[in-house]
Amino acid sequence: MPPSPESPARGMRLPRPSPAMWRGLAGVVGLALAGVTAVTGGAPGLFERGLYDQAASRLLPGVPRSADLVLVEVDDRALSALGERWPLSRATWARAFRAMAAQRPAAVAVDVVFDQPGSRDALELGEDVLGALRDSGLADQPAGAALVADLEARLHAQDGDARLAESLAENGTVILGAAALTEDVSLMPPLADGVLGSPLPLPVDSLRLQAREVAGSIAPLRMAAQGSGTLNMLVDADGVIRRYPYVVGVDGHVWPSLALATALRLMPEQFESLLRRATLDDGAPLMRLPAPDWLPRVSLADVLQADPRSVGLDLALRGKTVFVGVTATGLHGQSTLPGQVAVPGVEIHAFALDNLRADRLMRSSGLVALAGLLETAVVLLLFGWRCRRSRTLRAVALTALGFGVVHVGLVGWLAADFGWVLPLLPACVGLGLMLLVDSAARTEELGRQRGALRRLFVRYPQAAPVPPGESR
Amino acid sequence: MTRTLPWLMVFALSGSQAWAQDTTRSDACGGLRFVNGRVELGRKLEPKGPATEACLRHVAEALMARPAIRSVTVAARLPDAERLDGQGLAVAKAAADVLVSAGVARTRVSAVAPPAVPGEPGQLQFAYVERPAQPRVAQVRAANGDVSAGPSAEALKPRGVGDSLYTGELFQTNKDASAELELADTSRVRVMADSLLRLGAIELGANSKRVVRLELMRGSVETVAAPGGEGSVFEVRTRGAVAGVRGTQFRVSAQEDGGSRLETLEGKVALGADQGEVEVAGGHGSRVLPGAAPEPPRPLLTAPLLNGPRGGSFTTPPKLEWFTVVGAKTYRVELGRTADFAASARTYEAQGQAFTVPTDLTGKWFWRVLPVDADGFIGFPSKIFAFDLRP
Repeated sequence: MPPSPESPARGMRLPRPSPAMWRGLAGVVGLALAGVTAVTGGAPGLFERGLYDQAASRLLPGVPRSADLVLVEVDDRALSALGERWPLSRATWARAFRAMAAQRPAAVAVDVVFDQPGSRDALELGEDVLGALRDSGLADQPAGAALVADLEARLHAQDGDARLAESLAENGTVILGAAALTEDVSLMPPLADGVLGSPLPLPVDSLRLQAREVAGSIAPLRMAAQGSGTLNMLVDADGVIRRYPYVVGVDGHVWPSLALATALRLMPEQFESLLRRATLDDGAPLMRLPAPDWLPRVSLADVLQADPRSVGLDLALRGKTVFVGVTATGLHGQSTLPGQVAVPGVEIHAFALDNLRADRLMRSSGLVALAGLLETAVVLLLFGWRCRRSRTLRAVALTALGFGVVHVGLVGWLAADFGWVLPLLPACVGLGLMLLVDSAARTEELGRQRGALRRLFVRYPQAAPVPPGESR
Repeated sequence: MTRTLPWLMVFALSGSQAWAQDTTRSDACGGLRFVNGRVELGRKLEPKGPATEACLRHVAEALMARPAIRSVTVAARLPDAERLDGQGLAVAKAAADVLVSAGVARTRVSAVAPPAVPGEPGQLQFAYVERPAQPRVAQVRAANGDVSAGPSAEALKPRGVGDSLYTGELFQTNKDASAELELADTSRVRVMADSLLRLGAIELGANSKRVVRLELMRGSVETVAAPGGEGSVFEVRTRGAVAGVRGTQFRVSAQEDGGSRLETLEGKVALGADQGEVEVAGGHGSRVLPGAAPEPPRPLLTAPLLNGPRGGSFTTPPKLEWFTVVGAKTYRVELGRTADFAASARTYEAQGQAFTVPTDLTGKWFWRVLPVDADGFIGFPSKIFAFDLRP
């Protein structure tokens, strides 16, 4: 078939891209990965989460034990001792908060939302009986009046919501849990704006956790408590919790998490600096992970059953920041942390508070993401420059290895000492691709030179002059 | 998820278009609202004193008028110096005793004394718990004059801003009264003067799907509905017709003799009767006379162009002026404290192209004008302007 007029003439070749261009393209791939990581919220990127998890759980220093934090847990032993099933009755909670108040803790953060009133069926039956007594005129007689007074006292004692509100007010340091509702339909009834107290004076648009509405405990409990904080976590697509949302945006307002609300209660003089830290990384910075068993635990059974004058209880709770949550088998939400460390949710709030007040937060977005992008670019540019000056493939490979080691060391050092989490993989991918391209180019060049030599030496015997006197 | 745009609906059965007079009662508490379990007062309530006791008695009356409220907690938030030795709790218990002496059952009142907010003076606060068995389907967002609600016409009790309403309840506005309700799906229903509305089923499902059915038994209502997902139903039933949302923004009216009137501002609305159904597109209106089929759609009157005032302060009541709309027989002049005409709204009828503001309206007011034709069809509303009357 004759060539079409549009097709290039036979034998004509398009110019081949130079090795430098291929190296540049490979570097652009690495840089693009870093850019995507920066745009999507910072490191760890999608493909380096596993690596980050291993590094964060095994290499980075963990949160050391805090002497002033303690977990009062509703564990299996507490349920067994109380003879109750979850959820505990309001009367039991009232007893628990009253017992804790006796030890004068600095603050009590509760990983529970009392979003529904307790049952009042028995109370309403009692009220009906009271009404019948009064209507019948029996209450006017001495015996009837005594019966009415006794019944009123019993009904008063049975009103769990009221007793719980009293114990919260008596405690005076309780921060209740709340829930930011992110789904269209929630199991919890939403509350109107302002019911969690005063919103924080922070810009709301850039926050990572945005919710439609917020739900909290019933009004008498909110009124009696010192405040409320959201219990939400930010769970990545792989089910791992790497960031803690210290603030949540709801309809133009910003509400604090349980950890931040507790910190503000404990350190009101550091209001500004706490808010500044809490808004790092769009309000949800990466967390340092705790060492195993870093949080001392006290069973709710001990709190309720011990003598209020118990020295052990006093040592465990007095002046401490007490986190209250459920850890009983099958009842608590096991949250998976990096490195597959599963802990009860209440512990995450506790070490989020510890991270916040000690400023151990890790950041990866904003300027840090930009720094990661620049660092990746510098590494790749330097390597590209060195590639052109290296004469052998071995030298190029050693250079790539050197840059990789420096990059990993720099990323690790920034993470460990400054809490800056820079993307690790994009630069490594860029280095690898550039090395691959360079080695391919060098191999091709070697092959081309070898072919030229072979052609030269293959032609040489044919062109060699025949010695005189010899026939061909 | 498919979402419709916001739409507006008006359903009027009576010829009375007068908005309620601002008869908000100046009670001892400076106002009373029941919002999300909190009793919000118009002013901070001091821990003690005759004014406090009067307010407490008013709160007790309001609590007893709301059978859904099953317990109330009184909190005395006092500075630390005033809470020593149980003084704070004593103040709260004294306030609770006033509620009990005013008729609230003792078993339903409790007292607490939480710490005060630093820097704030001592005050009394109230929180309540409602029966969870009755899911709230609506809440009173604004009220002018006497409004009431109850399970039947014989059991209506006064209601105020923040009150919850439940499925099957009747909601009534007296003459010269009006109210705005917020439904569970965040739709808003403006109940005009002398109206009686029954709150039917309101169901909320996933993907914003909702089912709302209201029954207008007397008077008129105006509804601003929230966007609904695919398969949503929003109906207002009267004796003679059912208006169902098909589109985005529309207005429907019906008359006391059993007839119904529909005015669609945007999108499409179906006006159904026994004899047939008609879809009325945006900018058109239709009506159903008793025993007849819906009439063909007719164009709505255009929005009046306002001449003034467009703002500014006045020492004497200003004269509101606008230009003639062809086909208009009368004009409806609306004045409100807010630009959504929800709070303290008043409505007047004007024959010509001017209306002099009554002398008792002092302060800042927003105003707008709607043309009304010979058959009572209400046209598009004008732009909203404001004036400030400071005699």
